[in-house]
Amino acid sequence: MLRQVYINKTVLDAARERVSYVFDEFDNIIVSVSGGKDSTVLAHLALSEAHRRERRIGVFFLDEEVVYDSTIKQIEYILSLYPKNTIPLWIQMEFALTNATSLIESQLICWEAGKHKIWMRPKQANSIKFPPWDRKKETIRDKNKGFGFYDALDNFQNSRENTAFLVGLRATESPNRWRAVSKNPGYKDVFWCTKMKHGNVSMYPLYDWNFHDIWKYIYDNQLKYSNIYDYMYKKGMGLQEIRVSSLIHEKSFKALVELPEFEPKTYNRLLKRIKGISIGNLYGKDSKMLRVSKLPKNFKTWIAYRDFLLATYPDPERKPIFEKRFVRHLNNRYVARQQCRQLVLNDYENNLPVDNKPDPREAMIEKWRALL
Amino acid sequence: MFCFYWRGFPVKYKVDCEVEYIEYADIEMYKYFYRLLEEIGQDSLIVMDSCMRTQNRSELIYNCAHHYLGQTPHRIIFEYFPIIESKADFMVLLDFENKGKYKGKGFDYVYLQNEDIKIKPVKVKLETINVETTEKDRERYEKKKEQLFDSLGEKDPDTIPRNLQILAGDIKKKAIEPDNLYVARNKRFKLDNVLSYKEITGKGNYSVIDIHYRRLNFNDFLRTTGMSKIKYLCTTLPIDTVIINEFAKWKARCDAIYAQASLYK
Repeated sequence: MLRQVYINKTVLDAARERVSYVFDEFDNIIVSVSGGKDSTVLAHLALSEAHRRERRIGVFFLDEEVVYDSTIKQIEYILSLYPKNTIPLWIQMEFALTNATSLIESQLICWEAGKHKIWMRPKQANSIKFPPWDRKKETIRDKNKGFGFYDALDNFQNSRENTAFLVGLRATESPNRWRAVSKNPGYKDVFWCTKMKHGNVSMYPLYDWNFHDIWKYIYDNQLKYSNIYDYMYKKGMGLQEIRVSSLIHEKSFKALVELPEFEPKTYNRLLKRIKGISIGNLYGKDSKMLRVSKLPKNFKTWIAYRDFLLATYPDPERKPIFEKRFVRHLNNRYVARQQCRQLVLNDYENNLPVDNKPDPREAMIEKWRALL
Repeated sequence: MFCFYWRGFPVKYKVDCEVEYIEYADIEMYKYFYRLLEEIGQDSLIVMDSCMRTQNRSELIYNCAHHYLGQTPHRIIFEYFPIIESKADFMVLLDFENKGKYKGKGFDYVYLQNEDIKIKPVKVKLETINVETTEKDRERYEKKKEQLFDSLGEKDPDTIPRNLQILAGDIKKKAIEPDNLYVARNKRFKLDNVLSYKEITGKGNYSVIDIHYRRLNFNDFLRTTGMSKIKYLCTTLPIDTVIINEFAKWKARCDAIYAQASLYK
């Protein structure tokens, strides 16, 4: 658990000072938004400052197409807060997303040309519909995986110079990630940021906020927020657990279980858009299916299950990615279970990395052997 | 007034106002959830009685309870033992009192003084009744142990001590006296004076053949029977040493909490 030290200043005052500092230091500022509560607060803080200084800042949204309708409404709301101070950077271009719910259609090319009839919704009139960077300089992290979400993000950032990208990252949400990004100052003596190429800096003015600080700000300023939070709250989920995410990739497919209840029309369109959606809806939280936490009865060991999944993996282009990765891993039950999860969820991008260590169950067995 | 209770220990309060009694398992049901969110207000009193039924602080059912509890400042939390197994379990009770305040925090004895907590210690003593084992019994034990390790497969390693306790219990059969009452894991002895944990529903004095492997169930047994002295049939087999040590550790954890809390008088 991250230890928080309280000082005689509110997080809101501190965040306002940080945002003000960014405006003092940078001519170009872009706020990244996802439609979630954190980025809504950050965008409001930054746009309020822009309004006060009569400046214009970019509001960047990389549209994955397969998102909640509520997310789209929220982005439209953010763009409407201070239109005179906003440069809309709503990107709706083709890139690949992992589809964790189907091995047959393992990728979704969002906004794929020629499929506009089954797109989740038409493109926005004011969106950027083609890559806003020099295609000759375009980079790609892994050619085997194809041009994905993070490639779009990288290229967009690399197309800018001396720009501050404001991101709603909070340390309490991901202490490990926070430790990784804040180890060294990213700009002058500022630790709440990360240095990037071309003089760009990714900055986190809300890094010390807790989730209740976010909700208090939303309430105090009467901001709108995504309906998904209300739906999830009504389902009895804890305030810290409710989050707005994408709908199909390996970390978010669980959202499909409740999607028909929350947004039936979105679910209906998604069913037509890509394969595997009903599987995600039925088995997204099933321990023997997509959660991969219990071994199916027809396998005696996780290693046998892993070998079966790998041998029958249907995509010949992606299969070598898994084979090459697994060769470097230990061959035990603990690791094999995680490998099964990667295979079932089609995680060729390694977004659910395998904790490659000896099986803790072995230690338990040794303990009982010594005591009994 | 709303009272959430567990079905094993139903309650009835003598109060002047209207009381709605809701069973623990119903807390998360839609039919109660939405209605109660509307009905529980600032002037409601919520009583949580014996609702610490799982060690997982993030369990959905606890979250539902937190929603109700967050709607009123009037809350009373009752529990027979302060923990299920580990000290961290006490945080479940503190979360009932104020979820936001203790979010993500581990147990600290200082909370016992900082909060309005009163404890009436439940002291439990374990006495052993020695049961002799023969060379043959010990050989049988060793053989069973090896067989359990060899055939473990994907099963939970904790099934090994559970199975060995059953074997040790069988060896204790010769020490069962017809005039005493006993409790065992199941009905395998087919004796009228040996009951399973499920069958015991009231006060009584039972000698224990097998201690229930789930601490929560054993705690329920202690509360149901009101026993303050446990007579445990004990062999010299290693499994009984493990069981006695584990019980002593649990008792020490409870006693440490009793020692640092304000006592209810």
